[in-house]
Amino acid sequence: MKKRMLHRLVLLLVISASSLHVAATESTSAAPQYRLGAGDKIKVIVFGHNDLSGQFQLDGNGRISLPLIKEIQASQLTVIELETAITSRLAPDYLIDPKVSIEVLNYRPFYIIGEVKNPGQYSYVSGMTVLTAVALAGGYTYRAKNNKALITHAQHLLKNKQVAQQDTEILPGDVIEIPEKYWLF
Amino acid sequence: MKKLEASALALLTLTATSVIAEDITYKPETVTSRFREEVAPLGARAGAFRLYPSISLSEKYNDNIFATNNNEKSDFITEIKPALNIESLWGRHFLSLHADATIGRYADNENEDFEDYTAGFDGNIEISHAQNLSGGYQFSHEHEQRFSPDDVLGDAPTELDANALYANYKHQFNRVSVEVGGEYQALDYDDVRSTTGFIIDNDDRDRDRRELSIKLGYDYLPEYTAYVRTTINKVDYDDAVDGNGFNRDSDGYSLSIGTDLDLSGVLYGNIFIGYETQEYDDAALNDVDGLTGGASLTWLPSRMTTITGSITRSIEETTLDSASGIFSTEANLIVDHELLRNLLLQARLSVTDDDFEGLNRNDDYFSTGIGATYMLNRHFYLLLDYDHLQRNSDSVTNLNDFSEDIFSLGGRIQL
Repeated sequence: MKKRMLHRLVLLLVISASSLHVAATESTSAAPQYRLGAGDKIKVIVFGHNDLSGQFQLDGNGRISLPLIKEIQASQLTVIELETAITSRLAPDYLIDPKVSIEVLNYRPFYIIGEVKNPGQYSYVSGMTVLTAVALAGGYTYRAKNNKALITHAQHLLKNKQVAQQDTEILPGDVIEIPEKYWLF
Repeated sequence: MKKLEASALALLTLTATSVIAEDITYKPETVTSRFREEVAPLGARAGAFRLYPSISLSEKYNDNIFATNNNEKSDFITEIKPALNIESLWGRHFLSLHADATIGRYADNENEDFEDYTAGFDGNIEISHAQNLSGGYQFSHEHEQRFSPDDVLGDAPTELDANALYANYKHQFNRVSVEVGGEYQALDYDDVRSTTGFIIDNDDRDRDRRELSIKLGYDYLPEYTAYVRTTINKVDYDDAVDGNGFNRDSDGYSLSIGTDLDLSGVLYGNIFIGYETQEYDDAALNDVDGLTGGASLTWLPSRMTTITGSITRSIEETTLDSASGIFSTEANLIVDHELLRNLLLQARLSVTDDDFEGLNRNDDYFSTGIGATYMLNRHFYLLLDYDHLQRNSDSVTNLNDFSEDIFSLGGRIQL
């Protein structure tokens, strides 16, 4: 009996650890500091409770509505922080030691304006850089400044423009501006 | 720097360079040729034609209006230029008509006021994919620049009427092409009153010129055409002898070889070298002959900057004393830069050497200038220019030297 319980405990630990591990790697495939925002689509899995799991989209206010715990503020949180937030809401009132894992299914689009052939909004894919974003937007115009871009990150409350290079990673919801060139450089 | 019979000669060189550069098919757009969607004039549609009317108004300041060595006189000049360009919208052939007038009014020196006007057409007929016929005609009434060596120093600038006609036929046989061209030009000078009141007869400068050219081209590589070109010309003055007793009729010919070149579109142009001669009927006038040649190159260091350079040699007419003709060598350099999509800047440089045959005189011209074109919208352009022109003549006295600065501010209203 003791052996079986120990065996089950180890199995439980291994499974939860692996599921957490999987969730962790998937959530860090975007830049580690990515913070969720309105429009992101996520999948919440509470281990062992299918009725508490599901796919959710952050509404206009950046909130998701889960069974039992209802509205929870998800925007401006990283995936790990949201997992912690949901876990703390589920325990101790509803579940004992819940195992929550979150996976981002669909990121918000990013926006690119300025000296590109087709400015507009484009779907974000993990690992995107300024250069790939420009490529999606049809490439530089003949007046574009190739070596510089200005990014307004969605999650920065101050919303000031940051200077970036072609290989700078971008995040969903970012507004990338390609400046104009006036002389030879 | 012979800008005497400007329009007529410009027409000649225009056809000459267009004939040379014709075989290059793809050219990336230069700063000046780029079509600007937001600020290009759209004109007005009239059937199968598009009309582009415009009117320009500019104010110029010239610090040496008579181009003298000393006692320079400066003045303000107001110029109004109405113009109309009409272009066909046909699929295959092409026809363009143009007419414009430039009315100049001096603030203090009324005698220098002028009214120039011109009208003409250019056309192109694609007989088949291998045969092409082009031609045109232009009439113009203009005035001679005060610094021209042929200026008679009358109390007003000399006015003249010019008629120019040209036709060109080209036939392409695979890699080989044959081109035959003809040009006719007639100049009629008006008399002018001298500063002391008597009439200066300018009819001894009236003349016509006929030229026939044949060009054989061979496309040795795609984008590279090598050619041999020969011309013969005849200049006929209306008067048997000019005011100094010389019969200025002449015959001339030239032979040159050249090639177009295109280095991946970043550097392209053409270059030729040859021999040119003009023989005068009057035994007292020396023949003018020598090496001729030219090069015209366009370099695009970036899409926003275009640099064009050219060098040409030609034999020009003159009625100055015992000079038979002028062998003129001119080099130009122009840098165009697109600072903003609607603001173009230009810097220009020009050096000319005029060698008078039969006269111990050699003139060197040097000019430099900068300009800006600001396109506020489709209908209104603002133009700013500064030009500096100077001549150094090696004649015994320095009377032929001068230095001139011209500032110009203007606007163009167009449809």
